[in-house]
Amino acid sequence: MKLLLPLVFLLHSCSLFAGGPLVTSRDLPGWIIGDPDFYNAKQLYGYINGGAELYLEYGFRTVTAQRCTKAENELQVDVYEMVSVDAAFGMFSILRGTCAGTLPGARWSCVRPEQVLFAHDRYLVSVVAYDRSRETRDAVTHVAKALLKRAGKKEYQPNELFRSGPLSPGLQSLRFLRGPLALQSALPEWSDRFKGIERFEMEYSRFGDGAAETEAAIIRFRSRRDAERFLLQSNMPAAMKAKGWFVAKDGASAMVKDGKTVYYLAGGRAEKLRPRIK
Amino acid sequence: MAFSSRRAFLKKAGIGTAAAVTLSSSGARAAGGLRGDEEKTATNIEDALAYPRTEWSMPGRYPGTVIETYDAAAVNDGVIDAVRAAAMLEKSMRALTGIEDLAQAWSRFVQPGDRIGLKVNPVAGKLLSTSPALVTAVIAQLEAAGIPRRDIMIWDRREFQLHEAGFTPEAFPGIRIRGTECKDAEGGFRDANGRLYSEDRIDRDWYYWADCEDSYDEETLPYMVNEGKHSYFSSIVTREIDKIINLPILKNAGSTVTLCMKNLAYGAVTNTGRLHKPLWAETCAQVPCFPPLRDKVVLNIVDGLVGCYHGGPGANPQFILPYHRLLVGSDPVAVDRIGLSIVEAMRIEKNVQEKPSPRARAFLDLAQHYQLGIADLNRIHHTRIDMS
Repeated sequence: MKLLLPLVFLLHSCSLFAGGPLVTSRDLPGWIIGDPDFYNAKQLYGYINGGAELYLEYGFRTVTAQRCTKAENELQVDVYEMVSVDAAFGMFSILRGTCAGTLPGARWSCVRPEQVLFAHDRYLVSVVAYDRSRETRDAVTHVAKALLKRAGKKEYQPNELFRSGPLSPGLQSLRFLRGPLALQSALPEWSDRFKGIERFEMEYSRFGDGAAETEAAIIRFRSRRDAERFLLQSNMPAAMKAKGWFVAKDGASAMVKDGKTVYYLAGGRAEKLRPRIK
Repeated sequence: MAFSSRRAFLKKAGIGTAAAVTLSSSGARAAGGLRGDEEKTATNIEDALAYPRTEWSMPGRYPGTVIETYDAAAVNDGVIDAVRAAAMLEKSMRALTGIEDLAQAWSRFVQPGDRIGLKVNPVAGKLLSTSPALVTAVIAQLEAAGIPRRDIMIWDRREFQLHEAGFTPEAFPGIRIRGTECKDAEGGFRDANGRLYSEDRIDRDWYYWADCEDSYDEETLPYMVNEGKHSYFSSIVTREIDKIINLPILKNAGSTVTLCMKNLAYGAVTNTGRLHKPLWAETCAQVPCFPPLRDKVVLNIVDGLVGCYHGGPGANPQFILPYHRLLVGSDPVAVDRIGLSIVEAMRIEKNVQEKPSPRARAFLDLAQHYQLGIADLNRIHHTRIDMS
């Protein structure tokens, strides 16, 4: 029995993201906690219709949706379980927007008066206030904190160059893009460069202001052929055979590693950054 | 606006019901750039194009004309000012028709005896759906033009989403609220025999055929109604209404928009899940080519009081904002083209993208190719009215 009790507690805690209730009455005393609705990949169109494609392209497992109410107060909780930490962060990076702050303990989080959004472990969590009352907004933050505690421990780790290297000024605006729909949604001006390339992963950031504005990207392709195609469509085919950085006439530059990974730099600080990335 | 059944027409015209054709080369060019150099998926678009056009066919009474009405006070602290919204609609109708008498302006599109369907978009819930305030204004002005409430229906694919977005019998007494996909009072999708209620609300004589398919599980099927290569038209559009007033909301879908064309195409047929990835632009342009939509949609009113510029078509509040405007026109393609410009400009202002994306308007170029309206900005007569 001594062994059984902790086991029951553990199972209860884990059940949060394995089909059990998302938000409990313990999280929001006095509120009516709605029954959770679950949608898997096949059912996602039923929940978010045309918005489903992007989640599916990143790699999606299930979403648990729950409505919480208290008289006129109302909030909505959506917990998307993605296939990986990367996928959860990728969706977060597209949906982040402008934030008023972050949630303590969640590096990849975004707090606004009407919403808390965070990516933690494989989960993308959105808690939205459906009314403008102070009580609902406080409840949103409270629920988000409660869910964060149960959302696992892993955090997305960007490439070292962004994490603590020369590209770290771009960390706050970092996006992780996987596939054409993510590109169409978050960086459509790059779509022509990726024409005919279905599978790729890219860490991308645009940072700095005015003349110092800089674009930095690290793109991992599935094949050398895709990398070649990207460089050709970016008007930098010679980068494939260059030793080190290839700099095009317009100042954009690329460097290829292992035949399938392309480093890209353009804009104000590219020239200074290139020597620091080898 | 009665027309013979699809089956009868095809028989007369000698068109095979299984006539699966690829896009014509010019159509493929119009959609160029959308899906690279891939071979296009075959559809039955030629069936649709074979139907003779009528006086009401898209682009309707005012081809290439778009009225954009703006009022900076239309939305205050996230709440729509219903009086101002109604005034914006009045102003738009007068400007579009050039007729000062409001009832006469509306009578350019609807007459007593018409059964009117208001096609709203409730899929993103309370935060980002066609606003009940605007729909209330439309109904009031229709009534003033002699249309009784019993002849007005608010419709969409999913009846329960209509309710969630505020389109309830209580809020709209005397107006029919109807969706193709529906539940019973207990929340079930099926009757005692296991048959989907929705099956009684589709018209198998009218369909969009495309050479792609998907399978759905038990949970998803009620939202799609059927599997296979056919997307059947809702009987709401084929049988229950004579004219459609299209009321989408100003929002993005990736770098493109989901406005008039998308609201019609994906809102009027079943089995749409299979169409999103391989045929998004084609579906938006081709489904409205079929007479139940092409010949019935008389007016498009884009609700841009509140909309979004990113994160759509779902409701992500961080990207929802007041646009404070309405877009009105009979030409859904022209209205969409102006709407796209507005959303693109906001995306650029908010640093979501750097410049307009040509791919975003591929569905509009294709719709123009099918003569549903005008996508070329240089040919659109765009009138801006500031009521602030």
